[in-house]
Amino acid sequence: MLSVENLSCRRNGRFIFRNLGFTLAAGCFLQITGDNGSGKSTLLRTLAGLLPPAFGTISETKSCYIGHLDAVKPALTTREMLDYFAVLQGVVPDVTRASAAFGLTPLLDRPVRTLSAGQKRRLSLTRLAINNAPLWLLDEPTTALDAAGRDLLFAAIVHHCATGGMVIAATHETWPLVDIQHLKMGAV
Amino acid sequence: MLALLRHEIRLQARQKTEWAALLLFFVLVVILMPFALGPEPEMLRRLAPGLVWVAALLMGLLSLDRLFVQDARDGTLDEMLISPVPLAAIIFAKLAAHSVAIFVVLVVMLLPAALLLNMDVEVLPKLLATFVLGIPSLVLLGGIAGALTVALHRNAALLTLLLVPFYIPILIFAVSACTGDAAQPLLFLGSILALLLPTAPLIIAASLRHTQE
Repeated sequence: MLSVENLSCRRNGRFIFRNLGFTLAAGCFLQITGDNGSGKSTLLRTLAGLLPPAFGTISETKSCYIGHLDAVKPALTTREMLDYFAVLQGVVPDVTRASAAFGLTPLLDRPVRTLSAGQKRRLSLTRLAINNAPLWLLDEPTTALDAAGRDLLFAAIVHHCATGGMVIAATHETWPLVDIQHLKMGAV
Repeated sequence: MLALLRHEIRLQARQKTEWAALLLFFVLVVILMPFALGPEPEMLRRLAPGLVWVAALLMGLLSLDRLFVQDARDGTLDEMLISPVPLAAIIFAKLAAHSVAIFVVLVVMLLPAALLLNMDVEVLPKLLATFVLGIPSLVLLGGIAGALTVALHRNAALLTLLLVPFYIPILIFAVSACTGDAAQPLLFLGSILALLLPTAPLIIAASLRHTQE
């Protein structure tokens, strides 16, 4: 379970959001919506531990954060990139299983620089399959994904929630999931 | 740790064109020197270690923006910060791989440079020793400056300004090891490295953590 109390975040002397509180039970999906610049990404980065909160508390939960940037190196192959993700997350890489999760198996030995934007996005999302974190933090995860990629992502999210995981996603997409909580970010 | 190191070295090895450009830069500086200073063999022989070191230092400076700026740009930095692996260890692997890459470029070019500058054969081992002790120090200091520039969102010009004063002692000791009695300057180089080796990764980790604010 994740609980957030009284969370405020300040950047460059300006409050991005103030006194935000919510709890998320195991197996739940929280969709964050809001205008551009309303603090969706800032909230996700704060939850991931990349930004220190100005006030408030976040319950300690291991998370996997997928941001706007794909965090891939053009010079490496897909396989090497997956290995590196695993090393950084301190787990033993299971490349076969991880690559299958987002349909990357045929691309394993291709250099990342030859992949399309959507394929890079899939590679970036594969971190979710490598990491065993209970909380997924996704910032516009469907960017550049094709229909098949989107379906794989939905399937992964459904499976993750069904096994007791939690997902928080900043997106304006309508998700074919039954049980969705909403959080609308607005002006402070 | 080994896996990290292997990854970083592989990454450097894949960026051959970038390193080739730096190698070319090094060669160019060395080739131009005799034209600028005049082709007197005696003078070139005397100046050779200093010229090689200045060229190496400039090449090192040029390569530094690859250290953390790229990681910040492509999102790898976030991944490094979140990782359960200690940040200082990741940084250490990065700096080690970078040092190895610079060292390889220098060793490849050492003989041609020595020929061009009419260097004494007995200077070569001394020069190699100063590279072994000096290059990692350059990279460790460069890492601190690189992390600071990422934290301040500033460009490479600031990085160069920050670094040059700290590079000067290394340059002085390295060149004096090649021209005179090697033992003492080498000890100084070694102690600079011994000071930086444990501290620099921690300083870099601390400033990278501040990049987000």
